[in-house]
Amino acid sequence: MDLETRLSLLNRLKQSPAEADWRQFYDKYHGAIRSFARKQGADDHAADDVLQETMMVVMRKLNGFDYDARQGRFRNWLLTIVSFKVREARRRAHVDRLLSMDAPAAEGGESWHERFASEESQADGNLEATWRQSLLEAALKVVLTDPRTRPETVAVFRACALEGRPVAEVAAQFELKENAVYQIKNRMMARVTELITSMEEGQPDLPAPAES
Amino acid sequence: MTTPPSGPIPPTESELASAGQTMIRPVRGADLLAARLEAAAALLGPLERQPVEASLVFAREVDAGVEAVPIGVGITVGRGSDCTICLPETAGLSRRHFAVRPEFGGWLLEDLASRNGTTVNALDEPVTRRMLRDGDLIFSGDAMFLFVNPG
Repeated sequence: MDLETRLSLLNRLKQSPAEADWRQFYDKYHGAIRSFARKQGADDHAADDVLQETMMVVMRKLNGFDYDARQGRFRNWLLTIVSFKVREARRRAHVDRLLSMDAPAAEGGESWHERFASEESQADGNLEATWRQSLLEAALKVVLTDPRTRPETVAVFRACALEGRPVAEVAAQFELKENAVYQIKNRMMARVTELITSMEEGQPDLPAPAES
Repeated sequence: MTTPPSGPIPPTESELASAGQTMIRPVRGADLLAARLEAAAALLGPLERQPVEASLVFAREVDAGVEAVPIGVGITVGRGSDCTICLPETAGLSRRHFAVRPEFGGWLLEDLASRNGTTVNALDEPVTRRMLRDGDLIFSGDAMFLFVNPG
């Protein structure tokens, strides 16, 4: 079976909208979960594994849970699952290395398997901060690629917030008043903060799980 | 884990600067992963009872019902009647095509020198051995299997 045939097999299995609750979850969190795994030392492939396995847990949990909106509960549940899946991926990387199933290390250097497997002690220490940074990056991606936002606005925000350039310098470059730059920055920051808060709290239409 | 303090906390300047350095990366295969998850959800959806142990989920024919077969101490898949999952009518499937068994604390997929090979997750490269991940899709001949591991 060639790749095209395999892909058409996937497409044939489209499900009804009612069964696609997991997709909301995927759309909202895939960026943060991938980013978190990457920050824990996973390469793109292992980060995809972490996302895939987290999504499988979510699919199984979608039925039979009552939503609990207590702040932090959903966030802690998700962080617990993702952290566990990263640890599993790390253990599997170790096995893969033993089996020599993947490409050998680059000449003169250790493979990502070795780096990933050896990063456990330092990575686990700061999960909260890493997760927060992952949510921030996911929120920034949404804001920076929002088609409703003018490219000039994105450029101004990128310059003053992400590149840390002085407001006066950014204002001069874009021929704006400094106050206008502050307004853009504050408006975009409010949107980023709102998105992060939304991701930390879950959402009312998701059946947030009681226990992992 | 601790409960976060109440109220939105805006990112700090240093968090933003750090994110600006690390966030711009192309995401590999994002659409393919979503398609795979869609297939996984579609296969799991019709099951009356969700698997409670590591299993392969598949449909014997297009538009046929979905089955989940526990892997237990190991299973084989192929056209041959001696296989745990026997699919005699499936084109491209060898008599003994692949096996899955518990190994190294996980679940090992092994291609049994099949004629057309076994691929995982629609990737081009056939595999000879691979530690399976929950949600992996296994392609052999015209058949597709979902590996689930509720753990």
